[in-house]
Amino acid sequence: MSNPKTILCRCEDVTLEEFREAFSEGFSELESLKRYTGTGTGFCQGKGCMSEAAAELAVLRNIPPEKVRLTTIRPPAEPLTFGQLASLDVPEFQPAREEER
Amino acid sequence: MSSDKVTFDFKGKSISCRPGTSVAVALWEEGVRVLSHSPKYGRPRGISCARGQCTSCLMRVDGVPNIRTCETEVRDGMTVERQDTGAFYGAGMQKILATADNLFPVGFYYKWFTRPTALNRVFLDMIRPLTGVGRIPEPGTELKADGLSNSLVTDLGDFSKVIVGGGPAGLAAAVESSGPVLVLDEHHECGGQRGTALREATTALGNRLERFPVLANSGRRLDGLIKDFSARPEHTFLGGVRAVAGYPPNGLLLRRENDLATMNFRELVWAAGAMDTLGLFPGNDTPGLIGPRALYRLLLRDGLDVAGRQVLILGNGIDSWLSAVLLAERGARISLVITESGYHTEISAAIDAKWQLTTGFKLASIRPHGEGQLAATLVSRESSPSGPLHSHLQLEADLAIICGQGKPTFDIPFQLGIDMSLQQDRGGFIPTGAGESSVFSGRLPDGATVAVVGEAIGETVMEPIVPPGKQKNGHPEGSAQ
Amino acid sequence: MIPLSSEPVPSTADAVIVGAGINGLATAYELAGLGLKNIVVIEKDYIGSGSTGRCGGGIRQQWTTEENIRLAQESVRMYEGMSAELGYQVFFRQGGYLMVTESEDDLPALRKAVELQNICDVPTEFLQPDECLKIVPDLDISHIKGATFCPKDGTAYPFAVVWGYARACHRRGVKIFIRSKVTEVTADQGEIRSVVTDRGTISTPLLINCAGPWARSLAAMVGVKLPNRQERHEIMVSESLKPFLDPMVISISNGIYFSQSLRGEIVGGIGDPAEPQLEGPESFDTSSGLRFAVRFAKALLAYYPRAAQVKMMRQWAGMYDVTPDHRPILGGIPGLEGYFHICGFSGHGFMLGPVTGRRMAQFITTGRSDKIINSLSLDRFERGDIQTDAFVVG
Ligand SMILES: Cc1cc2nc3c(=O)[nH]c(=O)nc-3n(C[C@H](O)[C@H](O)[C@H](O)COP(=O)(O)OP(=O)(O)OC[C@H]3O[C@@H](n4cnc5c(N)ncnc54)[C@H](O)[C@@H]3O)c2cc1C
Ligand code: FES
Repeated sequence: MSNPKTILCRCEDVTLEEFREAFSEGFSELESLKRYTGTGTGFCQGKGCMSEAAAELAVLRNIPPEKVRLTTIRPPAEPLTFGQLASLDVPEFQPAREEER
Repeated sequence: MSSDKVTFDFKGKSISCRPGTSVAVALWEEGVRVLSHSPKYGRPRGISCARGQCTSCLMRVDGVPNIRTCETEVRDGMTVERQDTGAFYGAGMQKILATADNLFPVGFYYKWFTRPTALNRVFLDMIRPLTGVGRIPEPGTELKADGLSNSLVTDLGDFSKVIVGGGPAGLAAAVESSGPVLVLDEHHECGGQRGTALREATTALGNRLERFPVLANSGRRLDGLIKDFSARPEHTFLGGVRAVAGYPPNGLLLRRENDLATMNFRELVWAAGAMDTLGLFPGNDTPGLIGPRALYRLLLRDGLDVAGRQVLILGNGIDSWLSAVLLAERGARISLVITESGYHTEISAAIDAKWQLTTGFKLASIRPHGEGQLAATLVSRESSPSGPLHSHLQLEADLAIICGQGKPTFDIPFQLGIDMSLQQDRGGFIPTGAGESSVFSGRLPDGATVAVVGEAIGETVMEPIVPPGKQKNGHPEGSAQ
Repeated sequence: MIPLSSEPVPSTADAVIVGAGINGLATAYELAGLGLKNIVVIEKDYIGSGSTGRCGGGIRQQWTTEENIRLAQESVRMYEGMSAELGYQVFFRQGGYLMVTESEDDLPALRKAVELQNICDVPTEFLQPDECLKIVPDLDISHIKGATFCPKDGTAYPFAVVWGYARACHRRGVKIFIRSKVTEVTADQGEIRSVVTDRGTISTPLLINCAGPWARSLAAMVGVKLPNRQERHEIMVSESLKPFLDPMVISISNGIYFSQSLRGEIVGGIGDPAEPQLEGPESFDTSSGLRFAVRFAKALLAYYPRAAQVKMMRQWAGMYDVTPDHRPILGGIPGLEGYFHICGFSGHGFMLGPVTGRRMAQFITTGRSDKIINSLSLDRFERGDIQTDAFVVG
């Protein structure tokens, strides 16, 4: 067939096969799989693929899906231009808030 | 300049279209279905989310790279270009990349040509110009920060309770609130992602509405909520505003067009609904393959012209019926692949409407076909993949709508420090412990809360009539392998 | 390659290294190369999860103290051959570092630094504002008063570096355990005896503290008091675009730095004078702030207005492990046999990691310390032998 690929992450063009292969190379957590394969690091910042990737990892590791350790989702939720950001006033400094997780 | 047509430039060709539509839709109607190519394999990509949340429609617009053309309104005289016509992806390369499966083993760039150092340098020099999508704008085209008006700041008022999402869940939360609340939504009207679609469909159906109980019930529920909300003058609805970041401990960054504004909340109700999930199957990135929420935006926001188009709808539940009714009313030819039991009344209405109906099959793969079309391969649910030939079915279409279980929107609650975990029966990431309660405090200051409600927490809000025995996972079979 | 987090740790080892950041892994790799067997690396999260994975990947030789210059220079040589050495692409690219200032008052110091760097054979030059345009054509030089440029400085991809080291460690028999945390260290009669982790106890005569911002807490487990403080620093990446920016641009006036990675993203950060110095992980906060995004955007556009319509994709934060003189702390402790630390990098441990790992491995196996290790030992603070590097930026 001319189009056999199953795309896990569209933005970075990562196939499901590649994700599985990376797992078999020893990348056993979403944190490292994400950086090694690029899954979830593109324009959508994982909206399109992180839950699919987590579900696949649960299968690969044979653990319940809710046990998969997620990667931290960082702001912003959509790309913003430096021009837009620079138009804001600098917010006050807020001191450290909490013990790290 | 006449106001009933807008003309813009694409590849040196003038394209005329109606004003108010998006660049991506204007191109689609011109037959330009491929808006970009994927970065590694050069796979064709077309409109997908229609909400500025993926990469599929990124183009260079007026010299600015990576513009989400699905959310960019056409303007007279604008220039639109594809970004992937560089040396690497020219001509034959695309074909090779699209067919050669193992040309790039995972992480190849970490493994190739590391030795000796001289070769490594050459390799790096070679790949540098190939990475990156789009070129930085030329100097002098920059948008000056002080040119942004920031009118949004003055519109926000002084509310301590904010509800993000003006769909059924957000409206219900507003109606239950005692003090004044601000309801924000990226749509200009309240009703949520299906709101205007549902209103159009119920009106269009007229006295046939009762033949689609799922639409009739949801429509009544939504009408009721909107009425109750309007009866509360202390509440404010602000449309066209999207929450674009959450900053701990309790900050929200909001955007209306180019303007940003910040707000600190005491109580946040996250009712931003769900995103379309297309699922994992071969060809799941084929142009023309979209989810129902994208379809509603394309039809109602952009006025996508589907008259005479063949549209394939896969799945069940409110979205497949709503999509089918809307598309049929707008003159599309409907082919419906039903993947669950139930919905007997709707099915008999579909038969009377002479829609093409398929049951007993599930989706196996999709691929591009002909000029901008696609072809879906279905397999019989009973047969094995190696089964007899008649257990396969191929359906061709201009658009395919996959109506699966939506994926809860999770990013901003997550950014605010609320623990999330994957709950597959709810469609994706939701706050850990959701179920017992929907109110979370994460790292918020004392007394501040985030409540996550509705489809954002995997709950079906539009469809109170869940047929008995219906599984929660309404994904078309085969698409969530 | 790396055992899944369910497997137990071994009960004995010849050396336990705490921390799988660049320093822990480089040290493990070099120690194994010198013939040490049974090396175990213990990492509480995942490889590169500490400062290393959060850093900007910048590698420069433009410093004002001779040690920093020499160490960085040696490191640059190692980075030049690192992809080949490790058999792994680390994406080291020498686009140079352009260090700018907005203050006339800094110019004498810049010239002096260039002189010292030239003496050490680092090819830095002093540039007038308009000469900067040859290096970054679209730079806004209106507030720049002078700059220095070293074409041999560059950047590498931090995760690739730690993965490359981890694989090479694996080939040399080093065992790396992720998701395992050191909770206690026992010493007896002035010697290290064992390391207690949440996945079992390892008896070992050798403990190497490469715990980055957590080094202070780890040292405290054996009664060693480090003067290190931790500082939160934020950083961001933009969308990825075709190459337009060759060097890293860094301002000693406001602490902004930005470069374009080999993936095409602008990677950059800016220090915030309001960030307090913290003591220990209880007060670490690595969440993201809008304040950073706005400050960075304003500072970026002041130097590089062409980026106004470039989009920021994501921002994150990490900790610097800062010493009173901004120089790392290397070596051991008199009277505590088998304990070593490699920490306190004050925001430039990525560029120094390969060389500090190599030198410390030699020191640990032979017991012969070199001049640099001597002068960077912890007791310098008692001796009062402190020289602060003036070019700590970011
Ligand atoms: C935003 C930012 C930008 C930076 N930019 C640059 C730059 O451009 N150039 C540069 O040279 N440097 C830069 N740095 C500094 C650089 O990142 C650090 O100096 C360097 O990475 C330190 O490496 P390390 O291996 O010593 O520590 P780390 O990378 O922090 O590794 C320490 C490891 O120890 C583990 N650990 C700690 N305690 C325990 C325990 N009890 N049990 C088990 N494991 C434990 C941690 O999980 C961590 O992985 C930057 C830092 C930040 C935060
Ligand atoms: S971003 Fe435009 S289709 Fe997804």
